[in-house]
Amino acid sequence: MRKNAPFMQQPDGCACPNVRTTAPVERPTRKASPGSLAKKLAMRATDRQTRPRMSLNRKLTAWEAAGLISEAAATEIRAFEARERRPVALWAIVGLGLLALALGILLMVSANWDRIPDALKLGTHIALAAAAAGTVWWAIAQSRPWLAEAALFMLGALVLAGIALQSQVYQLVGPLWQPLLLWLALMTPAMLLVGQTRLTGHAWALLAIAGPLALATENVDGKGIWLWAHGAAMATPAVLVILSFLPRIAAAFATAVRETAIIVLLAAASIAHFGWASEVTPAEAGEMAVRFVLPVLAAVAATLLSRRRAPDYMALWPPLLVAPVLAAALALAVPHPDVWVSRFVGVLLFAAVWGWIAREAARAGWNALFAVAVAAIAIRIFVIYIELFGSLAATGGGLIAGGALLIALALVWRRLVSRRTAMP
Amino acid sequence: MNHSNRPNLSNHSNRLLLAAALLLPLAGLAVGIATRQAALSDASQWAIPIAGYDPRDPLRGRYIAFTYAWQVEGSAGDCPDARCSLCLSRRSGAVVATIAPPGARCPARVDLAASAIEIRPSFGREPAPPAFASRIFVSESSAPALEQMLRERPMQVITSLTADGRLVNRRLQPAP
Repeated sequence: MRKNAPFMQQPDGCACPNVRTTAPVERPTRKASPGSLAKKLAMRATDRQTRPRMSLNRKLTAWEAAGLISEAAATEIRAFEARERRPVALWAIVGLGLLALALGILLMVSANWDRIPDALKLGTHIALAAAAAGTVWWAIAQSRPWLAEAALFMLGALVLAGIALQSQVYQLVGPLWQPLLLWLALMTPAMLLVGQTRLTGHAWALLAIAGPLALATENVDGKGIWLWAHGAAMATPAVLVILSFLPRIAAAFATAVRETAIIVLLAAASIAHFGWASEVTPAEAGEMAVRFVLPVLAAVAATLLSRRRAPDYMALWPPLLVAPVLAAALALAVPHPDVWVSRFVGVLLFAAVWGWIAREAARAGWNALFAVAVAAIAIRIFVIYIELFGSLAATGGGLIAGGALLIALALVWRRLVSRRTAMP
Repeated sequence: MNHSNRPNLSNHSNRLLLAAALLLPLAGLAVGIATRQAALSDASQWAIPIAGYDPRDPLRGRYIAFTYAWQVEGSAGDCPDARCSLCLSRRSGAVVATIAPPGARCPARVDLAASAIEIRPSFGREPAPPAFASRIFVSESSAPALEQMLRERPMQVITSLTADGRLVNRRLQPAP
């Protein structure tokens, strides 16, 4: 380890900032150099690009002056921050521009439908899509990742618009799942290979969940093969987690896919557990059992793979991936009447799943997830008061007790989260 | 942007994979166009009179909803759950649609499910033949004029009937 490394391992094992042992060195002041106004502006622009954010700069200067860090450490931190700086605002504006462009193309096509010959519409669209695909290729060859990402986003929007355009030209009608699944089939390889950012990751994952979901809801009461189609849709989040560990996928894209999948899984399972508050007949339970075969298998496979590919959070994957599916299966695939006992069992299972998640999130240091889990349990405990009491007076009493309980839980939640945030 | 797993063209397999992934959406769109063009090139043309399903409000979003005002023959009982077909024919200049049970063969067969034609009950005298409802996409600029024409004068839809039984609405125009 270098002597002047900004973060040195201390004797107590803490990777803390270097404590300055020498006297403060006076910082060199920048003198105004002679030259034209244009040269000065260009220098200022270059300086703005390379220096770290002003707030950090001020803090580093203050820490340096207080003797907390050495000048070398401050210089290295500034250089590191300058290298890692991301043009977030620029890309937010570019993203909005691209979205407006895509929507504008769609509206222009719609508004001038009669004036444009079909062949011209379709030909222009194919040419635009080819240009977007060519730009992706060229940008990768030129090592311009942001341009490649923008062109990929544009290609995805154009393919979706193209499917809609063909539907309009040829007067095609059909259910929503058909264009969604067609888009997924055409764009998934490019998205997985080229996608680099969380934006494209979230967008692709949402469409990957929406497509099978639209297919499943096309015939909710369907039997036979439809039960397996419903199961396939329910297994999609776990399948996405598995896909996110494919070797060629970029880290930010994969993280976004996993985040979307886990949020959808937890939200769906939390809603599904309200099945305890209604009667499930043996016939309904039998059908649900068939539907849950694929989700359970996918969740187990995703957990096993996640534990191998992300061993740092080994204990967190079972409560995040398997527990919600099992809890939903118990709520919907086990026959039960609509009585208070079944509702209470549902609450206990809900609390067990989120409690497990909270425990493992706390151990892994995922404070945000810990906070969400505690909040979910608190809200569910509040809801049970409304569920269990029937009459007006009893519901009023339940609400008063539930409100008091919710305030108490909020205070406990705040204390727990504050304590966890304060922990190193 | 994370630099790990950034796509590159450094080796042959990378180039091949990326080229395939980028060509796939273009090929998919092109195949879609080619398939539909091929189906339409062999299609027979039918001019079918129409009526607005709801004459006061024919425009639904970006579509004009209508019912085919053809002469319906056959029994509605042969058409359970829209799984039946219609056999189109011309008689004295009028288009006749004969309800045919599933599996029946005819030279100009309309597959109701593939054509997304809805079967709706006719109100009034019983037993009455069902109404066959469809819709056509219209542009924002032409929608008001078409809507007014549907209210004021007889209209017809020019359709293409493909070999696989799909009746494609092409355009609306005044009936002769």
